[in-house]
Amino acid sequence: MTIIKKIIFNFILPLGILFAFQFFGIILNKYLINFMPGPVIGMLLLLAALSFKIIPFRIIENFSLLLVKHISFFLIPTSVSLIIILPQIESYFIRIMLMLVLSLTSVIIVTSSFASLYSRKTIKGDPDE
Amino acid sequence: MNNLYIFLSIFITIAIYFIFLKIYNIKKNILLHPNIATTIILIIFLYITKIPYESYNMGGKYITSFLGLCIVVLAIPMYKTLELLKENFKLIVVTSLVSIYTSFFSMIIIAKILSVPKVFVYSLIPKSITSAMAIEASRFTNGNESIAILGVMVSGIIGAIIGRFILDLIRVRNPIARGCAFGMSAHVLGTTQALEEGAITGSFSAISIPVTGVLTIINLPIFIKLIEYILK
Repeated sequence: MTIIKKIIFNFILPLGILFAFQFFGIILNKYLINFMPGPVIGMLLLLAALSFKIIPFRIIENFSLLLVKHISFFLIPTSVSLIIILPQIESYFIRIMLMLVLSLTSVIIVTSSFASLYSRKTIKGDPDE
Repeated sequence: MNNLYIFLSIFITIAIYFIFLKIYNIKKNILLHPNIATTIILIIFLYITKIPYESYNMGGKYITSFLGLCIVVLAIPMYKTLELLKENFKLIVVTSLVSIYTSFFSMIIIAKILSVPKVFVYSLIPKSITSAMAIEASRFTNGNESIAILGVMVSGIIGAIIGRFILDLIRVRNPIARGCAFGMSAHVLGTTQALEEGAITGSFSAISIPVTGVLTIINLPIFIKLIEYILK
């Protein structure tokens, strides 16, 4: 396979498919499903397309897994914008942290206790083992 | 000059990210996670050099423009764990809803007690979902993207650090329950801890991330109404 073919099949084609689903999602968000952001609709459409074998998984597999692996890279500039917001929220900082920690603790306790009870009811045998 | 800022900010971000990726692969410390470490280094760098964020973001915005694509691509981990999701559909969805509403109501109660302004609550609703989705969610609630990211980062770091301690303290040994708790409270960073506990805990944590993300976003209109009603 020539280098150009490799680039097309390994990068441009999967990138095009992902962009197409993002585009469909944005269109649907604009005209039909206003309660959900476009990219999330695109994600669900892609999941459906893969599940019903409309898009063969192998076409986008390698490129998508690479993107998933480095997904946090694309969030860095937004994370760096904290430099603007931190001085503005200084007076609320401790309260926000307290809210986050307490809420997080309650989520961990309630979620794990609920899942433990639920799976004990639905899954036969001892789920603790 | 603008082109130089664009090139430099993209280059520096990539360089620092890959340096910390290498370090993180050797030393699995949450604070050395490439996203967290790169963010901290860049913030310190901009602060010391007095370079305005706007100048950095001339190049940064090109990186951020792939954010939508990052959400679409989350279909892939979901597809790969589809069998696990199908087999445990009710458990994962119901537990995720319990987690989302616990997160929401606990925040509302604490916000009311501590007199935290509404804008923070709007921004921090998606604190337990993956960052890409959290940014979209904060746009939807008219919250602040930066505060949303702060919430996601703090939840991830703290959840990954204290999650295991809390679960041991309340004696939850069920790997499914532990996996759900990690994934539904501390998203990707929680999953790195869950994977250390074993395959079942790791798998349930991983599948919890997109499910909790989608369910949080579906429930946003309800949350907005509730905030308006409770925090008048």
